[in-house]
Amino acid sequence: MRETFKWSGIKKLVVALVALFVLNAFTASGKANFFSSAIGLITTPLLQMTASASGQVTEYLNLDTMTKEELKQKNQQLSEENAQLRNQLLDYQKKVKENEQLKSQLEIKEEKAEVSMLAASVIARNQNDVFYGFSIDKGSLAGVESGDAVITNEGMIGVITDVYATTSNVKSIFSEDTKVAAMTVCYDEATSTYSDESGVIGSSAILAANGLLRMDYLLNDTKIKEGAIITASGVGGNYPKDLVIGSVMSVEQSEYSISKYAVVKPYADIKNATDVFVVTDFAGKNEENKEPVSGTAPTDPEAGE
Amino acid sequence: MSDRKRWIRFVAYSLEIILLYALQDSPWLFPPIFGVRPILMIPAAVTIAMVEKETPAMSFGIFTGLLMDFSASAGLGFFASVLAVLCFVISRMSSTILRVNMMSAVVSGLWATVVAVFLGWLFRYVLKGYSSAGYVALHNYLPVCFYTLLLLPLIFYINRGIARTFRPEY
Repeated sequence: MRETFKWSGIKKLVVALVALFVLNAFTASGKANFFSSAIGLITTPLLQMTASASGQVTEYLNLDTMTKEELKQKNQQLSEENAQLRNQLLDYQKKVKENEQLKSQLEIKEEKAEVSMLAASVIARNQNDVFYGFSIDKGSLAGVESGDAVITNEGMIGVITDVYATTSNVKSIFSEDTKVAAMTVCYDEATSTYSDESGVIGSSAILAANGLLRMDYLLNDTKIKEGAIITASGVGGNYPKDLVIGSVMSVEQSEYSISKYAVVKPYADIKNATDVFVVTDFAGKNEENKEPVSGTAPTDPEAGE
Repeated sequence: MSDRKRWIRFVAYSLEIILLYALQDSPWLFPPIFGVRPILMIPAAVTIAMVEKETPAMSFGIFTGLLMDFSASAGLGFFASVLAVLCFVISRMSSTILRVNMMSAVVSGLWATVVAVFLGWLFRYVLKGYSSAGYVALHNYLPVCFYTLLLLPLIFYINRGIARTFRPEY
């Protein structure tokens, strides 16, 4: 027994554990530090290589394994979607023209929404993360900052949490830590008027597993309906206004209060995103929006964004 | 000569761990089973510990753990501490009471993976106050353990091969 647990070995283990405890305390803040940046610097090229290689193989296999029936079905689905979008585009063009005429009549000057974006690739996915976090190949050297929004062509997918020299970690919008002030435009059939409704986009492990989000703190008599488009409201100056998030699938009664919540399906494929953009700057970044927002739900002391 | 072989062995283990880290975190390489993907780093550290003395075993445990901590985007040191202890214990057991073979590798891999994965669940999920901890343990962390174990035999043979090739006296 004495032989089994040699004291010299135990001493080394204790010294190592103390050193690791100090390291943990030093790096726990999640801010860029020498150790994390060094690991990122060494492993990034290899991660880029394996991500690129495995992505190409998977893409090839996916195309190859689709049956003729599946391809036909997909083609039909896309054709229907295309027809629907064409109709919407016609409607949109009419609305744009009408809007421009009204603007010129009322002499409204348009504010230019300037957004700076940086293209990046997903190089790693954390296998332990039930909220589908991932790493991208751009870091502080490229101008990425903690808190920047990460988007794809389809919509918002996450927020930068840790920034190292050449890589950054992203918490997806499925994470319970990620809260986004959101809004949607609702149509009231009774009064034939449009109004904004605000809420907070969040998620949970179970919703994340099903690829869904929830928009909390809606009014009890909310006008939000299935299919409504949810965008970032820009309140708080954390994310740019009008950043598309997803569409409403259903509206439910909250389990904990009299307010309602909407189940939202994100437009972007968060679990399989490969190419992303980091929103590094936009008009009104970090500026607290103090203007009252119509349709805002009553303040919930436990809400905390 | 034996010193040179020892360093070659250690370099081979290090390269293997870095490669497994890249493969493990590669977004599309491993097909998900029950929605999860395996953690290759734990079997790597455990099987290296089975064929090495406690100090190198502990060092490779720390190295592997640091990469896992970096991958988990949390403070460095948590998985490094867990794997340091696990690898130290497994190395001592392998040199005293265990015979190094596939069966003992699977048994050691099983309990070490379950301990590491569920300590991660406890400290990085439950204690952070996230919801549905039981659901996540059953639907995510448990399948991860089983998927990880499926790949353990292959990693065991690689590490035993490295140990035998670069340590003639083994």
